[in-house]
Amino acid sequence: MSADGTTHAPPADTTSNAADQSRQAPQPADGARQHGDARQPRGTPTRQEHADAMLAHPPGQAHEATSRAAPAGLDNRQTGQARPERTPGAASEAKPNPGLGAEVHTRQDHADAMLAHPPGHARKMAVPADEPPSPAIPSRPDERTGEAETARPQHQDSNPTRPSQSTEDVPASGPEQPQARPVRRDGEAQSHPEDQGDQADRATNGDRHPTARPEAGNPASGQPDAGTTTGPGDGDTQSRDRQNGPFPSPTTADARPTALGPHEGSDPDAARPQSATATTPGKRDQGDGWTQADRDRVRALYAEDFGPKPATAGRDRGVNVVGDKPVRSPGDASDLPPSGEELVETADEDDSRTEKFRNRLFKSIEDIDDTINDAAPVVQSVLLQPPPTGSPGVIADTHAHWMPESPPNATPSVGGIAELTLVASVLVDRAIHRARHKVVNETGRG
Amino acid sequence: MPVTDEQVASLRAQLSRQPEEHLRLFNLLDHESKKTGYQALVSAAFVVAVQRRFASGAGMEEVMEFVGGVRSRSSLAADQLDPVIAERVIMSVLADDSLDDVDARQSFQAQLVLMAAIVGDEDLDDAGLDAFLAQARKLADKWLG
Repeated sequence: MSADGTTHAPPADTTSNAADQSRQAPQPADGARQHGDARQPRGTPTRQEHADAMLAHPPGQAHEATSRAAPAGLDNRQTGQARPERTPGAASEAKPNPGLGAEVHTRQDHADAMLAHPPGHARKMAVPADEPPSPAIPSRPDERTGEAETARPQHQDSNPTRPSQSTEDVPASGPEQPQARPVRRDGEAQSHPEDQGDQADRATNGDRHPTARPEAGNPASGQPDAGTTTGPGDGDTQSRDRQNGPFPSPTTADARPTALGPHEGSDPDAARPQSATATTPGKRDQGDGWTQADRDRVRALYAEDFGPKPATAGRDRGVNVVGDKPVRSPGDASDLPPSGEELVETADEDDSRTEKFRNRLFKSIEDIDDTINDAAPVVQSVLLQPPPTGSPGVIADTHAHWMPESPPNATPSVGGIAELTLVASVLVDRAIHRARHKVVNETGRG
Repeated sequence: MPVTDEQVASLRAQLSRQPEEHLRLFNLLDHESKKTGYQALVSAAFVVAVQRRFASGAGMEEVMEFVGGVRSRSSLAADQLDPVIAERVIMSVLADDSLDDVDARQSFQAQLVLMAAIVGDEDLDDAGLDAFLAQARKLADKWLG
């Protein structure tokens, strides 16, 4: 870092050294870019960009291009001046867009220059990678500068440096903390796709990084809604557009949360319009449809996340439930009433048995009257006599019979009076007879 | 010829301990009706009564005990009810024993006495007696049909 705060690119000794540095250097991942390029140092190229540069230039130039990654991981947060220093090595990278002015030295100046031009101008610089590299590659740095420009206006007046913007996210950290955070997010973004899904959810739910909001009103993009929808991942999607065209790359880990979020992955077809809007803002303008390969890829991602569709989807299989009748085979008729054949068989058995009884027991008798008359007294005696239940016993009277006394002062009956009269007359007769006999005896002597 | 109501009424009077009414109603029947309908009704009532009284797996001992109990109720029953014929008649229903060597008159008298004894033991009321006779009439109609 120089005294004026600008970051100077270290000398690139060898290609291997540069490659090592590029591996050790913090790589601003897609997830980091989802929070806006304003927080990310502009001088930090992604691996994809590095690969683009390697593919677009001869080996000798690629060596210089890879050297850009080394200072990015060190301390080039003030990347506004970093790009002019790194560009001299690679002519294609360092050459500013002639339309914007070749005298742009800092990122801030470049952003200001971008603001001065109509929006369509910046979009014109977004050249896909499949085009011939010679005219397109010089425009890439300008395009990234244009992306920085979209996020810059919010923080431009308060603090022109990017590290100060990153400190909004991590206020307790030192000046080096914002630089380390994108690196960590880069690793997480590649190793934990779910984190990317959360980031995508936050982006769609409005929980975006403050630095990404200015993209909504980005005059250079020409699509305010696209900026609010894509948010931090805009830079990555544009780089992806340069590489693979309008469709998300299946090899990049950030394609999943962008094109197929956790909640929108239930229907690959349903995710299509969102991905078309979320990945590339200009995709609708191009009017591209999904190819079969993209559909297959999205379905593969769906199957990877949620598993393959069950073979019995949409059909209910029989499940035995406690307390309910188990699933039986259709031929099991154990609890059903007897069938017609069974009823016929039972009826035949009953008929045959009834016929046997009739043949044995019902024989016509000619003298039926005499038989009935002879059996009638026996039948009557059997019906009148109860069936024997045991030996008959005599019940002993264990209770004393108590006769009630005649009440006193009862009225004498006629019989009692006659009885008393008879007894009294006899007694009187005997008394008279004794008295006469006594008198006769005394007179006869006398 | 199906069983008539007069035939059923005559038998019902006998089973309800109305011997005079039974004889009166019975004498009102013609001879052919007595030979077919009334006799079939009595035999069918005997089958229904035996199936009620004895289980399907009843053995000979239970049958002998029952016949002895019926004969012990009165001197007339002891004199006129042959125990061997009575047991065979019952076993013909329970075990499908043959009655080919049994006289029809003795068989019919035994059926009538045994059926009366079973119905008397159950001490059926009017509804029960009507249900019993209805079932017997149905079986008799099958025989006569």
